[in-house]
Amino acid sequence: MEERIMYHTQECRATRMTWPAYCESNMAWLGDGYYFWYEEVDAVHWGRKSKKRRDKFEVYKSNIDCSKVLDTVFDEESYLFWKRQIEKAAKAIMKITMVKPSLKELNQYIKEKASWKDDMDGIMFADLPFSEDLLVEEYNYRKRIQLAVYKKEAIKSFEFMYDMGR
Amino acid sequence: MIDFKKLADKLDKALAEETKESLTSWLEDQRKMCSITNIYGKGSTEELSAQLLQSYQKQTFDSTNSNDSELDVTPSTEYQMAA
Repeated sequence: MEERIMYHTQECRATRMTWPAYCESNMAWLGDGYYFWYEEVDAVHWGRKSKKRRDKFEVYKSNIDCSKVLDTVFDEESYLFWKRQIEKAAKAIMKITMVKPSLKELNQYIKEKASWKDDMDGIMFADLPFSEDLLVEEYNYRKRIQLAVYKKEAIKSFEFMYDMGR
Repeated sequence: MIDFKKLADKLDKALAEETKESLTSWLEDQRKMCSITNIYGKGSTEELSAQLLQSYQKQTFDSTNSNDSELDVTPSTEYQMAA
């Protein structure tokens, strides 16, 4: 089993969460799922930037079994496979409908219509960080990595770490 | 281990079975769902803390406790007709 500790951010609630929130909003860019950050600094940054309904946000940590996660960040074969599939699906959808799918729609299509969720537990993906922790200005030398978990069985633990004011 | 070939085959099959109508309708449903969530929010249930409930109950009680003033009822004859 290949386990990783990852971080989950939520608005501060009256009671502590005992399980991560399942995200279905249109911001769920890797499709509906449980979202985690690879680095704590991104979890905190996300709380400051996006969890604005309350004064405080909470950071939790989880142990995730990544053995059936499509790792497009650290595994070259997975990355090249993922890129080919995305391009194939996007081209086909545009050709059939003449409509450009959004990022979430494309991921949702692959997950649900192609039923990938039956054969994998999630996907790990990276973009560029928008964080104050970068030591060299305008140099994104580190990746901002997110994991969308589609199957709750892959989440092995979930515990509160701390809350923080925005 | 993830079976890449199986995933690729499943995607190929799903795309091959699509028609313009089926895929357009699926995309429209996705967009409708997003708009509804954006307008109304998804909503969730949340347990209120005991402290919050006590504070709310105290406020409600305090505001109704001094109920000793009489109601001032104006006779209907004194009402003015609205112009």
